[in-house]
Amino acid sequence: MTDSLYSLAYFSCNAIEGDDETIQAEVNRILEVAREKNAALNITGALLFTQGYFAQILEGDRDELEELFEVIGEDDRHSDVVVIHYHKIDERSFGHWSMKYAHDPDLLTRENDAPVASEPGFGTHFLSVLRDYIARNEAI
Amino acid sequence: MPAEDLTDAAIRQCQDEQLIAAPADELTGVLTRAAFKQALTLYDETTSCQYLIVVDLDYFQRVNDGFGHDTGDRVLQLAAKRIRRLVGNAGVVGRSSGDEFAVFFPDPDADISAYAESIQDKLARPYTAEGNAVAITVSAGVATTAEARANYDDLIQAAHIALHEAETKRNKGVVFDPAMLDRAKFTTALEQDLRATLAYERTQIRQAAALEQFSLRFQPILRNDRRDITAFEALLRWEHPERGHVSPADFVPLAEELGLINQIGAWVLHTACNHAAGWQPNAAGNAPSVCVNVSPYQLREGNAFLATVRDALAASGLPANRLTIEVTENAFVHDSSGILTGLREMGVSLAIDDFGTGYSSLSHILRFPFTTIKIDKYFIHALRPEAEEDGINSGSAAWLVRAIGALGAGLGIATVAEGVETSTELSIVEAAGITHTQGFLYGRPMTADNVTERLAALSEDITTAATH
Repeated sequence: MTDSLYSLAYFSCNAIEGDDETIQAEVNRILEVAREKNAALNITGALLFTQGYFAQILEGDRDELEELFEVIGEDDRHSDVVVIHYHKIDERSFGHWSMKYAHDPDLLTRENDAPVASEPGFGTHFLSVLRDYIARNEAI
Repeated sequence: MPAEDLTDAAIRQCQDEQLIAAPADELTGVLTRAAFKQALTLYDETTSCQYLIVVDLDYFQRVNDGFGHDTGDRVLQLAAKRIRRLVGNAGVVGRSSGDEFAVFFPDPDADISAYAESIQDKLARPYTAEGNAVAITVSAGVATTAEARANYDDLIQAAHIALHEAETKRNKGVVFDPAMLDRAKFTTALEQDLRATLAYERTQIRQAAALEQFSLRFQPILRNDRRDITAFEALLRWEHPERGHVSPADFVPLAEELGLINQIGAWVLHTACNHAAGWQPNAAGNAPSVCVNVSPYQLREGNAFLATVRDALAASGLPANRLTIEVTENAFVHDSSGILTGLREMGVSLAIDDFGTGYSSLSHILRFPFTTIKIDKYFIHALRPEAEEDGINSGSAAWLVRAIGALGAGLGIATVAEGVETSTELSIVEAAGITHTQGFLYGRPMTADNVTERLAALSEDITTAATH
């Protein structure tokens, strides 16, 4: 285990077929597995899913992240994976979350989503970037 | 620990039977190239149709250059793992070269297009390696034992050919077909011959004319109003000792691709000028010009090309006004007005060849200092009544020829109808105001000796006519 903390963010398209309910059920399974696995690997982060797009931010040890990303990247439940950023960080932005889930991006601006809105620094900013990114992609 | 896959099994077999000392690639853990070849022989060669996929990580050197070799190596490791996870017990994986993997599928029923597609999809997904995020693209080629005649060397070669086909076309996988192999073999053989011939020509130890593989043929161009020969178009021929006549349509594009066209072009220019310098004057007392075709690649040489022309004129003693450089419309995709003007300043004439079959031809007429327009034979042949059978309106073709005739007359430049074969075609062309004619009606391309004879006979006719 290298002593280096990295942040990795990617964007991808949903490849889960079926109605909203089926897709949501599958996303819930993804989250369940992710939370369990991430806790064991000391990886934290957030997942954003909306209108057929995924955006995920992962924080953790570099080697663990790279290994995890191999598994995520090969997952056939999404496609067109694009890495948005991958760099060293000094501290975690999602320290309390093995995998924070944001489904409706509108929630992020509401007061009742305080846990995300109150995340310090980069995490909040990053999610808003992702949100804009996804909005732009929906426009195209 | 996952169960042993087909690649592990092949590695173990190579070790057990002491076939290869180190069958596993140190970096990626898949079979080395030598072991992979060995492993292929372990499978039943008589099985009807087995498949090989070769997959290349495009421009991989850029990954090494941009992120360093540690990252590059890590990506190769991950790529090998991705392939192995995907094919599992269906395929044997080998590293066929630095940034290329080969997968052999022993089961003829393997869904090969699905595997090829998945391998490309999975390998093209982003990598995170040594703290870097790396995106690559991949090309794949597929070959089958049925088409590659069950010889494994052929099989690997065939998959490579399909892969290179994919790379040149920039589309993703291409399945090998036997015609590709014939084409690749022909191209390779031709390349060797071409290089050998040029090396030979350069040494200038041509003791026997029979050894000269390149030669020129000359086709006469006649002036319509006086019916006398004003020029000959020089046409390149390649007579190969074993291959026989090789069509320029086959070797010129290859020579262009290999960067050999400038050497060939220089040879043609020098030889054509040498011949033309010895031609006798025609009935009007003017010696015919020589027309030389020039490839767009030669024009791109810029001043070096101008120097070649100047050398050819100086060495032969041919006056510049007896040389015409013919260029096709497609030669103008690159900015060539400087070089064309340079040729005109030297006194060399300039013809636009195959007029009407390229693109944006009319604008070229305005921009470049042409002295001649050569109408492509397509339009002349379109004048024939039987052209109607091919859906061509021969009446419209006649109008087109008239329009070009009027254009030439208005601009005060010569117009040449190419491919004229009958007197009917000649009368239409003449009525259209076209100034010159070239085609089988007046003569097929002939040897340099025949040109001399024909010119001598003409001059004799004139002398005889004068003394009676």
